[in-house]
Amino acid sequence: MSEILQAWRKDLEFCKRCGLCMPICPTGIANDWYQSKTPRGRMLLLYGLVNSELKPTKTLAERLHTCTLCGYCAVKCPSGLKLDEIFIDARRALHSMGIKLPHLEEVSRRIKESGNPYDMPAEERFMWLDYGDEKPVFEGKAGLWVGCTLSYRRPETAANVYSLLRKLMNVALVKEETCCGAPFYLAGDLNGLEEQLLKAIKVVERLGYELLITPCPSCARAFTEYAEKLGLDRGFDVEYLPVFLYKLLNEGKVPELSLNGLKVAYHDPCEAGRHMNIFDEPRAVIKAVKGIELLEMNGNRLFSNCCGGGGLYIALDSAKAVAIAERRLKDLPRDVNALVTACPSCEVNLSIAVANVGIELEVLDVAEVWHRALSRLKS
Amino acid sequence: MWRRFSAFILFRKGKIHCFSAFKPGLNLDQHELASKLVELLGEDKVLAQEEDLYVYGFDATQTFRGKPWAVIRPTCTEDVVKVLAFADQHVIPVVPRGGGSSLTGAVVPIRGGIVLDMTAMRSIRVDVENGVVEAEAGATIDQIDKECRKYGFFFPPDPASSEVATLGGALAGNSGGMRGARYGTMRNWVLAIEVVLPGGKALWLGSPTYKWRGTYDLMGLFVGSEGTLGVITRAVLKIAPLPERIARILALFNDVEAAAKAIYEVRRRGLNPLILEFLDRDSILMVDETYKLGLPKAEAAVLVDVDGPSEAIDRLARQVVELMKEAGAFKVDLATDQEAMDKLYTARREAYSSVTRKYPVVIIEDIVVPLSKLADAVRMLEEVKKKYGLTIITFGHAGDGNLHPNICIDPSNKEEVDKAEKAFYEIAKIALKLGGAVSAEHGIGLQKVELLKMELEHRKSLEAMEYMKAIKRIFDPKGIMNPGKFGL
Repeated sequence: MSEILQAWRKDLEFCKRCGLCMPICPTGIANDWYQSKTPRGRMLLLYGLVNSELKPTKTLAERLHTCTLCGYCAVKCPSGLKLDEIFIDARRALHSMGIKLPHLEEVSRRIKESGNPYDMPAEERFMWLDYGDEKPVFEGKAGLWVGCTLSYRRPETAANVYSLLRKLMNVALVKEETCCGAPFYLAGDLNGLEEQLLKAIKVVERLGYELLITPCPSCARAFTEYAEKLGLDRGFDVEYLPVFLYKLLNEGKVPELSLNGLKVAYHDPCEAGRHMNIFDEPRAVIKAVKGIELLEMNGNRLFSNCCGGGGLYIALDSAKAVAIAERRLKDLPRDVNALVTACPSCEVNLSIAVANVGIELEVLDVAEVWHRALSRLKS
Repeated sequence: MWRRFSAFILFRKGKIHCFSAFKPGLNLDQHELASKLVELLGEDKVLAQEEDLYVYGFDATQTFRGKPWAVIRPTCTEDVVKVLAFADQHVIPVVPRGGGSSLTGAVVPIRGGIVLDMTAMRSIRVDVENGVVEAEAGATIDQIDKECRKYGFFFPPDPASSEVATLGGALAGNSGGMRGARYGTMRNWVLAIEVVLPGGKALWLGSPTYKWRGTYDLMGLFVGSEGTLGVITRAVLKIAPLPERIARILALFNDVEAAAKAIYEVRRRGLNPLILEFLDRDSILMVDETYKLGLPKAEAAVLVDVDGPSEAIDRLARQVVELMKEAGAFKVDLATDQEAMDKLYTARREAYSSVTRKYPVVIIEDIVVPLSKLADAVRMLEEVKKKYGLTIITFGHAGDGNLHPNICIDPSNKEEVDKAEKAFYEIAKIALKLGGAVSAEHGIGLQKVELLKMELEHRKSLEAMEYMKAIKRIFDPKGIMNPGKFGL
């Protein structure tokens, strides 16, 4: 049995199987508590695996990937077990045992062939520029790493983020931007991650950027946390956009912003919140705009409900992933005009849910709130 | 014939042991069984993959293991009817299961068979006009309570596992909770149930009205039956209006007698608390160590919730505060706003998690003693603790005399396991000696089969088991329903 899993043996035995992780698990709920698709079920599968009572099969791997890796179960566990860390390591262990799942193979192929998980042509990466008025600038000390999801799935948001940053500072685009490798991490493929992340780091270094700003928390984690785990050096600083904006605000580098009549709720992305402990900065950025009313969702900060967009679950079961987002919309306070978040995957999945449910609601990135206020200021 | 299924059977064998899947009367192999069930119910409702079967072999005891031959996830009563007709025909054990939070092995399929996972049946309908809620067996107690709250009502029984515990499981286990001192257990709140019997007959027992004089209390037989008679698929429950205001008081004592006196006085003076909870010295220490609550060292803590109209709540709360001080509390905190109440509640709410965070295995007992014997019980538990040198953390629902001594063990330490087993029985004997019982709300399952026997012998009522067997034969002549539980 894999050493990766053996390292968790004590924790797997420590689990009291109380099931308190089930009522808050997005995939558990979406699958009506189908046991092996709940955190308790996954813990038991791994318990069976480390005790050689179960074999490392495709079914078992698929159950482990029936998880958005949102980490809420770890917050809830009365035994204090780090379930999210166990689950990501388990994915790694199963990958190292050669268990291949079709949806992961496909994601891997796409990134290797096109440099993004959406199978979009690399040359179309900057097509989002058509959604704004800013001219592309490719040289500078600070680079904007847009990320695959905004680039290909939220072009308008990408244009707004770029436009905002251009108004605030001299930021450039990373001409050879590619996938950061985060999907490989979620798939448990550390070799794939290392190869892709190294490629991304080299691109940024070669183009001479000293600072990389990204609106994507997964990209931010890849360049920082994952690079550190792999022991990869990087010759530039990395800032996650909401935190960067918060710093600009504190340094007095932002003009007074106002937007009347906008009532918004903030959805904590799991990647930024539970995984990076970033809760206050995005809220402070929203609140910096006078006239905006910020309301809290039912389930926020550490206890935020997942939108279903993480952990590559959407590649395994997109219908259920969207159902999770639709459920998240039920946590909205009344009468909000916009749902603001700070993660491209959340933005995509929540937008689909909004369209499916048929409600009048904008889904915005934190940066877009500032972009709108700044645009109004200029006009 | 009594089977020995003690809480320690697995540890004594030196490893977690899976009971063999013997197949009484089954003339199908596992593959054929799955095919037949798919024919009967469709592919979506039948789980037969090794990985799925494995995870349905556990509950929240850490000690008992089984493995079903198939798992069915019904979505309507008709599905259950089909399964019970089929299982009866082929004499296949059927284990109904809800959230799987049982602490006694009650849902562990020790003889294989079909596990009926009821969690996909979870519709809830509140009928304010008639003061009832009707729900399917797979709805959790928490979901039912939340739905009632939308209409200004609530569902009073509140097992600690209410987020996971389902209606079917809570009825089959006759669960209680913190509000038991005021509101009793599930039995006190159920009006009617829909059950499916072996052979596939569905029928309603009881009546969805607040009063009824009809049959023998057949519904009552199913409440607390742990799935040994049939499958509860749906129930109609009473609901209660939400309290207007609540005040919470946490009192700390330097001696257990004083705490017991305070508990007794709360009841004697007719304060009718919403909850009345107790923590022993080690519980306070452990919860404080884990959650850094800043609690001073104390021998006992008492947590009281009183409720009432806005104009009376302050007076009621002051009465409790004074009473606690008179009884000898050295520290009394009162909270009336939600945030402050939540803070006081942490000590009791997290008592269990502070234990589970620290110890690999926790065997939780569930004794109940007459209220007047509470201090005696705590003192005698202390003696057991000293005698065996074990960590036993006790907290519980003092308002109804229900204590939960948690025996904390390292399963790899054989000596400790042996001592714990002895302590397990001794604690049960304490309850009986004081005029109490071995289980108040968790049930018998596999874990307390021998303790139940002890209790019945102590009451010179061992024949009660013969009546239980006779009753089971009426509903379940082939003995397919949840075999092994209660020792049946």
